[in-house]
Amino acid sequence: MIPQYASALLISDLHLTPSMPLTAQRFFDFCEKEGPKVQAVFILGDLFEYWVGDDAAAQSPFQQEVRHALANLSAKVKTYYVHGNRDFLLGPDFLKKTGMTLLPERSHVEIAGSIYTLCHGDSLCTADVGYQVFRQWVRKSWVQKLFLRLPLNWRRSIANQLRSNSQTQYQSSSQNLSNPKMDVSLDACAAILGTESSGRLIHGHTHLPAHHNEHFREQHWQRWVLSDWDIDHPDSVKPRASALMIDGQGVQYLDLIQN
Amino acid sequence: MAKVLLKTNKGDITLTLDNAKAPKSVANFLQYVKSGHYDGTIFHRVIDNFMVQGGGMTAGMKQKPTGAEIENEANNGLKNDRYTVAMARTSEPHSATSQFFINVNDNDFLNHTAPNAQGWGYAVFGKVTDGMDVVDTIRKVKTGSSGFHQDVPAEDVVIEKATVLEE
Repeated sequence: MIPQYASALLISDLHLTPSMPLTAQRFFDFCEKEGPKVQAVFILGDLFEYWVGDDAAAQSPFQQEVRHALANLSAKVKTYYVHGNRDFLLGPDFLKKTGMTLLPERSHVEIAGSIYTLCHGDSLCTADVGYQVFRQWVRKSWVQKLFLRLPLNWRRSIANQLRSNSQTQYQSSSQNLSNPKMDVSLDACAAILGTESSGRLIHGHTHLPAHHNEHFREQHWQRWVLSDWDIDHPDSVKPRASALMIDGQGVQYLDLIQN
Repeated sequence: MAKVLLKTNKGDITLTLDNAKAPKSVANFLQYVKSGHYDGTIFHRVIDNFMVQGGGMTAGMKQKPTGAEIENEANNGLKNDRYTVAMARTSEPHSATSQFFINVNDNDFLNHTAPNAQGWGYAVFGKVTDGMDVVDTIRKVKTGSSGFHQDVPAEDVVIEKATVLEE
């Protein structure tokens, strides 16, 4: 049974951290202002910059604040979560406290009469073979169980190490925007959509927001990529925060900076 | 209120500066105008619906030497609204020198919220009082990447001459 809604908002890649207070504030405002205006809100991963366990979150005032905002939103509308590559350890405790429902990578939902396939998007970046190997390992439940048993400060330092590695890679390749490793591959999109294709794919992860009309062999589809959020570094990066809005009017990007 | 005329290759822009609310930023800006620093500099960072930034680079993205960094006056109550002019800086709050930007939208998130690294905001010190159409032409120009810089106009937008009209 596919869930059905007349309207929805989709966001991803906020990378919330205490060091980005303006971005966090925009998210809190989103939970109060834009979020309650639709029937369902979908968060397609990487809401947090990193997640080393629900027990760590319980100790962090910042994450308590986010939890509170999400719980208030969930009291008004249906909220869904898809794990990202940074917060895939977000677990049952946090989900329960925020009232969010976890969706698997590759989920289907009907919004305003059309069926959409949803995912975070990292599984689509198949040109990055090294990352896909890493992903296979860290998504194994026994690896995750072992990790979560480590002392909290060990987990934090592992997470920091992984983040700085990924940042170095991102910075060196962002100079070369055509690097295929940084984007999804068409064959992976075709595969995730499947032959019983919804023909409509929505994901985040790449930080390359755009609407695409694509095809691979005989298969055609539309693909919407969600934007990351960052309004805390206007001196170096273009400020951005947006959501994808789907209702009877169709699909459109909602700019959250000018609204 | 001091007035400065920026003669650009896209037309003339008149800035009216708020000496009362942003005395340090205005004095600093006027000094660069008088010394001829801005003559030949370009608007090197142009993001439509956000801002246009210039005053520090010459054609070919060469950085000009500048004077000392100044105090950030973002807590003066002036808001980063459309057509206001503010001091650009690095991520360090009190690091503005010669670069400035013109807001082409109401950019609330650039305003001062708290006296710390994240909340300092960007110091508004004046506004465009003539030549808004020129600003709108500049914000619409085609941009691309140049070396480490993004959002660089494909064709140079040059401040040919900056002059003090009133002090």
